[in-house]
Amino acid sequence: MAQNVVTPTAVKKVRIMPPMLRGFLWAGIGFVLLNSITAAIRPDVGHPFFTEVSITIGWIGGVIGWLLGVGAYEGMILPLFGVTPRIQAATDWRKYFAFATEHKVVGLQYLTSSACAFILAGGIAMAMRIELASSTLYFFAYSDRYLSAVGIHGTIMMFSVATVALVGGLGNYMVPLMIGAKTTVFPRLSGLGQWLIPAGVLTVALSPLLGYWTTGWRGYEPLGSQDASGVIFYYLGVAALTMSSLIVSLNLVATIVFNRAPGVTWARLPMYVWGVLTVSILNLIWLPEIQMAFILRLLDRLVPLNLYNATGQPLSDLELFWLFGHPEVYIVVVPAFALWNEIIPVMAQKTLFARSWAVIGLIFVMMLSGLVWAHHMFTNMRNSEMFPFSFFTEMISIPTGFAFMAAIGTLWKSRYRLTTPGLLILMSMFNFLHGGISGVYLADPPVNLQVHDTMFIVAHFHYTIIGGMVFSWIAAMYYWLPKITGRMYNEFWGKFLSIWIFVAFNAAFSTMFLVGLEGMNRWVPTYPPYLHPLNLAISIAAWTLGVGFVLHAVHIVWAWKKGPKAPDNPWGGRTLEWQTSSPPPDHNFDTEPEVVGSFYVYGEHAEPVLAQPVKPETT
Amino acid sequence: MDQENTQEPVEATWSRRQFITGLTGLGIAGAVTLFGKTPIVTAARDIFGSPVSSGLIHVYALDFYYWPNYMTWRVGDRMEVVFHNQSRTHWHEWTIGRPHPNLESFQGFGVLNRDGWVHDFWDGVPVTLSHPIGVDNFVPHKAIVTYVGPKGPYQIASGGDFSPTLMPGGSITLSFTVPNKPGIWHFGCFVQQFIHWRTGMRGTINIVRD
Repeated sequence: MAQNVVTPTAVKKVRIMPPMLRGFLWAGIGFVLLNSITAAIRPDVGHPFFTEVSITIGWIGGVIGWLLGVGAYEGMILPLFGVTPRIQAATDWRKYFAFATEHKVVGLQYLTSSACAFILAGGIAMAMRIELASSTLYFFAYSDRYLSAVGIHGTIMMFSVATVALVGGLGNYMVPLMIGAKTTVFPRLSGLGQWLIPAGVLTVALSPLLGYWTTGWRGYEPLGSQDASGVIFYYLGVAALTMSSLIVSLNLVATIVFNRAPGVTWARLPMYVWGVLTVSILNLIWLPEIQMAFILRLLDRLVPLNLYNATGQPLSDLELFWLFGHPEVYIVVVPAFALWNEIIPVMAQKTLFARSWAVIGLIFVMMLSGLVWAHHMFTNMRNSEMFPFSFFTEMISIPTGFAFMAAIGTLWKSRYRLTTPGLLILMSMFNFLHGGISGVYLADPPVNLQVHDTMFIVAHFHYTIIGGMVFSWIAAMYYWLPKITGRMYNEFWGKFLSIWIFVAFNAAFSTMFLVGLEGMNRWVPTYPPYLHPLNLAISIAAWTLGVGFVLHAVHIVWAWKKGPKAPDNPWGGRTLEWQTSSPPPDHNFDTEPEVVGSFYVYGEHAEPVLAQPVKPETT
Repeated sequence: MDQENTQEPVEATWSRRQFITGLTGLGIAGAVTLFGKTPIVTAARDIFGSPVSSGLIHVYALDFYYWPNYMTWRVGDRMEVVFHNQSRTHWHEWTIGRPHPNLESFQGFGVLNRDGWVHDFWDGVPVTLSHPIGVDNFVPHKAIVTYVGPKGPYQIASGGDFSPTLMPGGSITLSFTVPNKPGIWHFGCFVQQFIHWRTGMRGTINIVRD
């Protein structure tokens, strides 16, 4: 990693156990310790060593052990008691594999965690498509194995990739740079949050050890309470992952509010920072709600409380889930909207069109996203109850349209540079348009009731999440790669692979719309033989897409290590991250930047952004 | 509380090889645990054998597995098995038999192993039941059953193989002498149309002769 690191030569080095290995060791000790104590004191007749209660308590011990082991003991606990640890954190490449507090390191750690989770959950999706390439069960032994795979895929993708990569990852790295800050407000908390991601992902991925669960990422009750004990690891894994995102959001909101450089007024705040701010507010509102819902589910199972069985109210669990679940969709795509209008003016070298409306769009999407949840539950509602949710769901397309309006207005008559990030952003807009328009159809009860629980829905939300968020994520990786690494990717391979995934993605998911309309249900590993040709076509396209994503990852890693040197500001961007060296120095800016001009005005009206340059003389 | 460390600070470092091999090893161990635990445990039993259970033993039913899920019994040993249902939400039973060798078409799911037993282990076996707590129903089938105490709590029913079915928190004691039926026997819970069995609620008993 080509960070500018100043290492005092006089500091002696002492060899320790790699923190991640120590984390696993301490996690094992913590798990066994608390599990044993619980098993010893539990009152039931007889006592197998591992029970649902003991595993739940043991898991808490495991996560605490993991966090302390990766470095929170020296980084958080000892300083809490006024002790300065003698052994300081590593400053070379090793700092990326241990507890860290520097926002750029934490951002790269989040990005790595998300990318690994994306490959893992993507691999599970490939297994699902292997199964669906035939109309009968042949790859998974029973349907519950398939449903567990669906649930693990969805949970990991939603809670550790879609919600995390653009906020915990690029948000942690870029937001302080873009607002002229040297650090975030809660760096230790932020460092802790990152290490909850591997804990949560591993918990969910290993959940079949306790038995197969069939609820999918929604965890609907009372189905969840009827599942094998593996569903407990789903509840616990989600608790760790959502806690990580909550920490990120708290830290970034506080940083944006309190750590802006002079002149970075609300009116000048960069688009991506607006995106991260709005999505972080959404996280702060809705993540505690879903955490409480999951705690209720867990207690309902362990105590049990009878909240969601026939003597309780199963529908209330669905309401609680979707109260969070639909804002979650916007938690995923709002940063992508912001990225469109962050990257397009730079690639067009043209003033951002209707910037205020683009910001207002983000804010109204944020606010309306809390008023649409019940459109996921039209099958459980009276017609009169559907109307307000149908209305608000269609209304939310208007502020979403503001993002398109600003982007298209900027593109209009511009000399747009069709670089790899520029191309991917246009692809993201194209894909999201289809996801969004199919969403407007789905807001209409007649269509909604007709295609409910079919593959039409699966195609719709993959168009928004992969098509909108993942394409924008890859675009942002190429866009900021020279900033993060000081190196440039290969333009031919970048474009070639982008076209590869665009074609494969649209082949897979546009066909999925069709197979859904033909009657292909979700949540089933088998289907009538007449649906086989379309499903086989989807599987082939999906495998092609999976290979394309892996090749993008290989290309980015290659460029990171071996790519040609990039200039400090290869795109001619005006936002603050481009005003410092690439990669940025430890404290981002040698002097505090003072912003006097707009970040998004190009052409003859463009004025200098900074009162005086902040770039170090030698980089 | 402030405590200054008087020693000169040092920087942490660690072996790259230890780091990579350690993480790779853990990754392989995790994958093997997830996907290969059954063949590995079976191989270990084949190599090292399995201790014979006799006398008082406890068998726990949970969601959806048994603890233990493998036992070795010896022909002629006197057994007293206390069967507990420790699920908080589910009814569970304990049946022992040999599965159908045949496959069967399950409509959309394709051809799978046929559900249920072809031989019931308890056929003709004398067994004494006692201490019934929370019994939902008990099917004696062809076993020779002696009931301790009044029969009411046993909820005796008919249909299917020998199977005590317990409500959540229930338990029952089965006392018997291991019959001369050596070989591998399987046990499982067929509640909810075999879904518990398919979900993994199954185990093995290896009956050996001296």
